[in-house]
Amino acid sequence: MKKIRELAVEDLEFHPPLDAAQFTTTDDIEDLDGAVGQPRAVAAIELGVGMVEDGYNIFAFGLPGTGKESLIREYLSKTATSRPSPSDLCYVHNFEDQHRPRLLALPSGTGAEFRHTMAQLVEELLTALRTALDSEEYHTRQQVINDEFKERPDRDLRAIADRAKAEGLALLRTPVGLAFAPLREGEVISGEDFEQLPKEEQERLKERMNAYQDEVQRTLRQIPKLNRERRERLRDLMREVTSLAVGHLMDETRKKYEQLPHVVEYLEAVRTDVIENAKDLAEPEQSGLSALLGEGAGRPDSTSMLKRFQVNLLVDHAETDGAPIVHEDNPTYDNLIGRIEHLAQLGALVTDFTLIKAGALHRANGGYLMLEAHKLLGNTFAWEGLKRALQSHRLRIESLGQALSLVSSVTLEPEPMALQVQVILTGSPMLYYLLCQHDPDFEELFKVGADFDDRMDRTEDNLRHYVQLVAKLVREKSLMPLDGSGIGRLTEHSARIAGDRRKLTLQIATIVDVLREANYLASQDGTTIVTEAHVDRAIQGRVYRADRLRDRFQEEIGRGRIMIDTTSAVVGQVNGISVISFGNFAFGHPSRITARVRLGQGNVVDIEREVELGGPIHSKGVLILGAYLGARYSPDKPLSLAASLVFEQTYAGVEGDSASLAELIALISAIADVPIRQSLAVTGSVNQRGQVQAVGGVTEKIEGFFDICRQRGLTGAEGVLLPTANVENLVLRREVRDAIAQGRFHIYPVDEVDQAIELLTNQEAGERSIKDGPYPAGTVNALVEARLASLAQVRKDFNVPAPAPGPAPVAKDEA
Amino acid sequence: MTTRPPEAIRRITVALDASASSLAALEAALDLAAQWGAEVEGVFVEDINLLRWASLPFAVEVGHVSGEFRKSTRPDVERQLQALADRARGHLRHAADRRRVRASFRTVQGNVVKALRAALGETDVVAIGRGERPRTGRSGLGSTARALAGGRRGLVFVISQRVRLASPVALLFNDSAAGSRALTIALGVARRSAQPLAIIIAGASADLPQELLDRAEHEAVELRPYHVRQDSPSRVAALAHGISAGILVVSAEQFSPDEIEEVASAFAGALLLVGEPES
Repeated sequence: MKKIRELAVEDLEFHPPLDAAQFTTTDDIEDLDGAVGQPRAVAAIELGVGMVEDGYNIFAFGLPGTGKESLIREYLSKTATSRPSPSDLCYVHNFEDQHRPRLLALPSGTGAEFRHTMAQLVEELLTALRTALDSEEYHTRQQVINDEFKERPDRDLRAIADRAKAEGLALLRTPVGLAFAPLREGEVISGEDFEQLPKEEQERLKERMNAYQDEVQRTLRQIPKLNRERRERLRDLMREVTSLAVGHLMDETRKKYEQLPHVVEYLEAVRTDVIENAKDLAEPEQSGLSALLGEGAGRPDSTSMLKRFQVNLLVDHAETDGAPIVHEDNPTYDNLIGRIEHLAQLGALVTDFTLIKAGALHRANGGYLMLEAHKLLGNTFAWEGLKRALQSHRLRIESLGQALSLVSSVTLEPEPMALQVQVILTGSPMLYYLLCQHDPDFEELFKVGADFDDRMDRTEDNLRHYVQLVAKLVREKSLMPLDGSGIGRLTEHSARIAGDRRKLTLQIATIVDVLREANYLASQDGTTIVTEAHVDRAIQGRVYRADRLRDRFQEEIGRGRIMIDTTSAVVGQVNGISVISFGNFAFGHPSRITARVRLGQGNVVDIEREVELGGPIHSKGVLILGAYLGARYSPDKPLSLAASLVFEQTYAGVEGDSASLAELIALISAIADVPIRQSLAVTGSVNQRGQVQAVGGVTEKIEGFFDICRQRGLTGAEGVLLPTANVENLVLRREVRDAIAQGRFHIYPVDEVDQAIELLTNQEAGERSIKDGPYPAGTVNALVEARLASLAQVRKDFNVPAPAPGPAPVAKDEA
Repeated sequence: MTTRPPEAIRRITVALDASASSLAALEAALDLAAQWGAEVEGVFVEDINLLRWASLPFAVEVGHVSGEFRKSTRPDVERQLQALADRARGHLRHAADRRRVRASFRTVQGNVVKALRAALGETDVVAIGRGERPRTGRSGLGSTARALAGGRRGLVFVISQRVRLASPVALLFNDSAAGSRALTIALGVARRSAQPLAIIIAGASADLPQELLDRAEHEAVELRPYHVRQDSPSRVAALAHGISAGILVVSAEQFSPDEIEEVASAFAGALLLVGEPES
């Protein structure tokens, strides 16, 4: 058995130590260039950002607060400035199909100017149109055409009427038409008088009336054709006049954009539309309800027609330096893909291209889009929409209703945008692995996984970089500088969060919070430098705000309502230590573990498991104990005991195997009938060979038992046994370390069960001198072996078959 | 029948046929009646010539819009005329109620022109729409309006579709008895509509007669004299148009029937013709 070596306070120091002599405050420390402790994630990001091929989007995963976003943003910022700014994007009216607005890409930063140019052009066009259409020349020529066409049928009818009158016939206007009637003395002849006329005369009049009716019919039937001709002539006149009026204005604008063929094409469409609709455009603007209900309702008014020449500047990169980096913190489907808004007009929802709104993908096109994975996945169809856009390399704005074919109302189908964007998702490892496993598209679209570590080795280089990082954070957040003592306390806390004296946490967000709170306390003190005292108070404050439940536990133990013995020695009873986590705060507290044994068939009953309060790992630990006992103490006999183990006074679940060493010791004590020192607490798991294995939460466990002992008064006998493998995990509070230095509290690292037996029983555990030989008499192991042998014998005796019925057997001896 | 001096307008007869033109005349007549406190009578004339034509066994009409032949009978035409009369009656009632003007409506059968000429003897003013541009000839006036205006009898109010009475009143000055009556009417209209009276004086420039000035002062009407070299219909109409006059008052004896028609064609406002009083 290895010799037991109690930990000295020197064993609990940090390695390497912080050399605070190299600086006075963080102001003396240069900024860190690059990332700290994330070589794997950095390599992944560099690859992802550098690759331009499809699918090299990045999923950065790690614990919250590990600086994923800030690191990625830093890398992207460096890369983005060296890349060109993407085009500005505008939606404009499609004069061929108003339901499919056109997308115009303009050189970066020129979209607003184009919008202004178009607004000015339209204003000037209107002035020119109104001037041209108000001109004397236009009105005169228009009048000439109107007169020419209107007079023709009037003239023809008058000529007919004159000729008919000469033949004794009148052309009458009936309420709904024209008719001929014979006249007598200027009046229409009556039926009776007509009958008095000679037959020949009657026939002649009828014939002439028929002839004139035919002529009138021909004349009337010409009217629609003449109207068409008249309208065509008026249209030609208007085209001629308006072409001249708007020509030079359009030519000037066209020249300005002659390098952009698609803009020139659009301007030509504008020119054609203006000329074709000049009359309506030149109408005075209507407003409000009058536009809808007033004269001319049903045809587009000039206000709505003018809207067609507006430019909807969807994405403006005037302020963008290099490639855009967009972070969308509310990645709904609409916020990602864009949306088409509607206005309510007289109970109907209407829309047009000016109501198209950009999504984050529009703004990030040609650059980078950062999203938080859990928000993305939590928004209905946002993930599907993003994948569809990335797979098709096109961004089509369509409402969810359209995308899912749920609505079929008339809406817009804006021209899709070619998509060239790199998406960077940030999230937890769990999300990353779930997506890898369950989404077949995920690995195709996010080929780069950037794995962010939550801690790093406390090497000299890393420690130096860490201090540089703290100095940078202090400056970035405009905090007061820290002196060496403050940095020292901060790195100590960093190791505690990491759960290892040889590590430093990379959960930067927590460190920043401590820095901010220490800064606040320092400002309250009226100082200009943050010291160890401020950092310590900040840390203690965080603990105090979270430890109400720990206080309640300790109070219950102090009042004896939860029974914990720290002074006597008791058979079958050990102080185990549990850890309870609430949110981001964890604390340890002792739990009484007891064992009872009796004759049985080798079963070790885990009472927690029986009542379904024990988790599977805990049950596994207990089952190992049975195997260990049988193999070590009763290899050639049936293990003939029935043992029961229980965590006393626990009313919630128990999980983990960190109490299996304590449970084993309780069992051994119960079997051997050897009392256990209650001044010591035990944590650690054991395997079937009796080796003690590392467990979690040792710092909190030790501090938890220390708090109870200190409450009762340290006598120098108190301490904790823990696996040797856990020693480096210990980052104990200053007061615990002070008690150890003063010999008032002890920590015993153990590697095997026998070391724990000797510490806890103050008796030799005992080793077999030869293989399969007996344990030395009087040792604990010998007592255990003897008790188990005894139980086996008793069990064997119980197993002697009962005598068969009939004459009593005759004893041989007697015979 | 009594002689009725036209110094006051107490009764206005409007010729109604439910056309847009006659409805415009109705509106203007009601406005005038409201100014003068007069009553309005709507007259719908069932044209006897139309009824006679419809009684002929071979009566056929050519549809205005369709250009198709349709046989027609007297009952058909009577129903159509009845419908027009009903519409005209309805318009009169609503428009008069709006202005709180006392109004009546009657239908007469006969020759339209004769019927309205007969009405001139029973009323102070006969109001008539200028008429649709007729298919049967090129004229600024419909046939009925032309016939009435050319009659030089009574007061005939010829109204275009968009006349605004709240505009200056123009008078073609004529130093005669008829001219004096025209002046009286013009002053009355100007005073009641609180508008200035534009006096158009033809020929060599001359001062306005003191009597005229006194009457204007007495009526509290602002006079604005305008001079034209000749009293040609087109110049008078152009001047009235130029000063944005709503009503042009002319004594009928100043122009021949053709000239009156020329004035009516060129002037977009209402023409008030002051003829010989009916006796």
